[in-house]
Amino acid sequence: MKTYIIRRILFTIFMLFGITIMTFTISHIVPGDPVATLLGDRGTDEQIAYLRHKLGLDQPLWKQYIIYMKQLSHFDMGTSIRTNRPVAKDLAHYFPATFELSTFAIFLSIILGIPAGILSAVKKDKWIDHITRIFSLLGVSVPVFWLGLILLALFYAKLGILPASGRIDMFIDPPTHITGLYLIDSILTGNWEAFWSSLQHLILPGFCLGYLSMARITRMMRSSMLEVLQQDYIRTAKATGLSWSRIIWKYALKNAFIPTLTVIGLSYGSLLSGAVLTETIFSWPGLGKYVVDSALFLDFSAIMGVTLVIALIYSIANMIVDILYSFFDPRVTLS
Amino acid sequence: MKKYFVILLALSFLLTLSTIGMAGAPPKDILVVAEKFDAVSLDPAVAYEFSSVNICMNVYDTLVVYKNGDFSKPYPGLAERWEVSPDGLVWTFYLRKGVKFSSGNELTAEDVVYSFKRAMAINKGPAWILEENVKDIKAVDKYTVAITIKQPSAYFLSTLYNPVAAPVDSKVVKAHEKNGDWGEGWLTDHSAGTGPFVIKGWERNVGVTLVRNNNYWGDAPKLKKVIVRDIQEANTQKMMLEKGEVDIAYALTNEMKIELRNNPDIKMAKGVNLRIGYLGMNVLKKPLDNVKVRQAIRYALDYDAIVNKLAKGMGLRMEGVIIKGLLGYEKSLGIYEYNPEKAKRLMKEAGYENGFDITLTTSSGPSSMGLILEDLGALVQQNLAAIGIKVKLQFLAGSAYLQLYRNKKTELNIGAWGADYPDPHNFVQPFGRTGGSLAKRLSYSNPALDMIIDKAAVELDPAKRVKLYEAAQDILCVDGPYAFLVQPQGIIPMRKRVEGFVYDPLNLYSFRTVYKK
Repeated sequence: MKTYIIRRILFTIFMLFGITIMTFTISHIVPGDPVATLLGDRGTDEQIAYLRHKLGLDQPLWKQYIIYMKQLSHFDMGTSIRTNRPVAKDLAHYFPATFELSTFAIFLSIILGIPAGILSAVKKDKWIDHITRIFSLLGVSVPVFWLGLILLALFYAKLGILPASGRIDMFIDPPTHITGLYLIDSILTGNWEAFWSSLQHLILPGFCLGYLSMARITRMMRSSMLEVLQQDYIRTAKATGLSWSRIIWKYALKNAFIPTLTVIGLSYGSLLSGAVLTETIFSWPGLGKYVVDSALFLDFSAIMGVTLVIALIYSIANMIVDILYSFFDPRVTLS
Repeated sequence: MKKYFVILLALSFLLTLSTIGMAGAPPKDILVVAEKFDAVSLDPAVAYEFSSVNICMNVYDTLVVYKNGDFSKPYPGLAERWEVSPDGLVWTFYLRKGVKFSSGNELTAEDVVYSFKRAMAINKGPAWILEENVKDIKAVDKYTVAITIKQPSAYFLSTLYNPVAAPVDSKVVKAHEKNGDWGEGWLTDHSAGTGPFVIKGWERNVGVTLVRNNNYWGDAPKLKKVIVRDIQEANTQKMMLEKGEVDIAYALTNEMKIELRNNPDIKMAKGVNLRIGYLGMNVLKKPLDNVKVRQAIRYALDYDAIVNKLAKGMGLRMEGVIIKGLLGYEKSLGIYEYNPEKAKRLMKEAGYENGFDITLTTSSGPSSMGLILEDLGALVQQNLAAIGIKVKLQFLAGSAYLQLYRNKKTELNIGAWGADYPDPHNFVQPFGRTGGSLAKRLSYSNPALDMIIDKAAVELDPAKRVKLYEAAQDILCVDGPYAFLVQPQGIIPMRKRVEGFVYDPLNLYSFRTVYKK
């Protein structure tokens, strides 16, 4: 196991290196000039030249790349042209919000999606199965933007039971910063007011963001469960007199779970890269908007930093999923 | 299994039932404002976006001020009086005595000198506003500043109303300097000004909190705190305004404003907006070099449709380049009208009876003129098709659009322009003068017009100045490479409990006089 992890880490570093080259090249080939954008349409040519020189953007591309990589080796991701702050600081600021929202969303998807999928498979073709299937079909087809607005219109505007925006109530101070995750920080500091407010603020965006993953998890769980339940050994177990619930929870689930695990891993990775639509509707100060703004602005350092972080997240998510395979299926060896 | 779902349901019910976290109406002395915040920096020497300039105007007072949306006459601000030398080159400002910065330090001439030098050294977005005129600045004594300008100017005073010319507390800023950055790093999200409010904090993508400046030299604001919340989605802003969770919403669409007209809890503040939307024609791209073709395009556009259908009536027909609210505005020049027949005739005279193909480029982001650019582009395409011009629409991301525009590679383009300072020169020069920031993108040059613009810039007699701008508009509107589309009208919806809101066309967030009942 240890060697496996070390090999994966080495591979990840190698992959990240390749990503820097690709991202660097692409962002510099695309038309657009961040300095001109920063100075606006009234910026004089002299101002632009001065700022480009100051930011080192007038150097040949390969030189700029070397300078960037040298900085990166000291864990310095450069300064964002747009926000004028170190990219690392920007990321450290936005990432915890996205991490908390995505983790909450995937948590909701799991606790709702898996049981729904199992129930649906076990009660195949009964009314509960039909309802669940409609619900999950909606999940993969409904546009996130529309869903968010409907949730807001219903739960905030009409019923007034859930908040509309932000991570915490405007008049409650966020909990003391330890991890940047409001739920964790408020528990660690015993700040229950902040805890409840943060939790309430997570529900609508969490559900909106997680609905798609929930639907995918439900469908995958249902189909792999159905497949497993048709196997001979399940029939044998039933014949020996075991109860359905014992069969499902002790035997069937472990085998059915592997494809679902893949879906969970991939979904989590994709949520973590920042969901700009959900974040926009609910004014969630996360990575999504930062990514889009940096890309549209052609803010080179920010684009590089964001791409590397997201690639890293995906690799870690995939690695954890692969490792978990070996726990669920003893036939799988990590080699 | 069933038990599982029952427990889940019970928990969620319990959770939503707790009322902690549900913001009701904010307290009376705290104003909450929803804005689509686009600030990059709150440093007055760098602030160049709508949101950042507006915050600065509440936090930094300027040497001169304008009142009640009347931009024809500056009033004393931090300078209690001023005079100009006979040759028009040296302006001397006498500062009010006893004005304190929010830190408690007194405002002196040294602060003014430092602030100007700082803005020009940092040399970002708004620096050109000072650079254009200021040759030298020095402190004559503790309360007197002498500014030498490069050439006599009729509009120099109005440039001082922009935050780039606002004095910052030199002692405080110097104490926060790092690596020769003139304190820019610190001033990005802190303030050191003489204004009625102080920046308490800026949490990116969440909002800015302003608190009352207890050392304010003027009338103390009634509000204790102002929270400007960054809410990017217009629908969310509308719901929050209707619920009363915010007091004012700045970024609603025109349709939403119409919907809110009948809401008994909402009222609207109205006024002109010092911005315009225009269609630009690159003079180097044949056949736009032919003035008759340019005129034909102007006659082909249905301006009333733009104002009534696209802007939903919330805009003014533009007659010339000088907008309503500024000196030299002419209600009707009689040059722009929707006349497709005349347009076709002009096309024929120019030799393009069968029309031609052309590309219309614009940025795809949100439009600061309150219109949806895709719709405007489509309308223009439709109008021009009627006279034989086949328009290909091209929407680009902001940064790509700007690059194309700067490189003079656009053919037709739609853009917006907002005032930096309240003077007609800020419109006529960029659009009309050879080398003006917009004229040069379109390679437009008319020496006769240049002469008039230069003359109007130094003409101190307002009556003579108006005459010069009349002549300038006559030329620009007939010969120039623009069709002026619309001047958006500012309409700001707010809760009825908000009082004392004064609509200032240049500074829409003016919280000085606001209070809640």
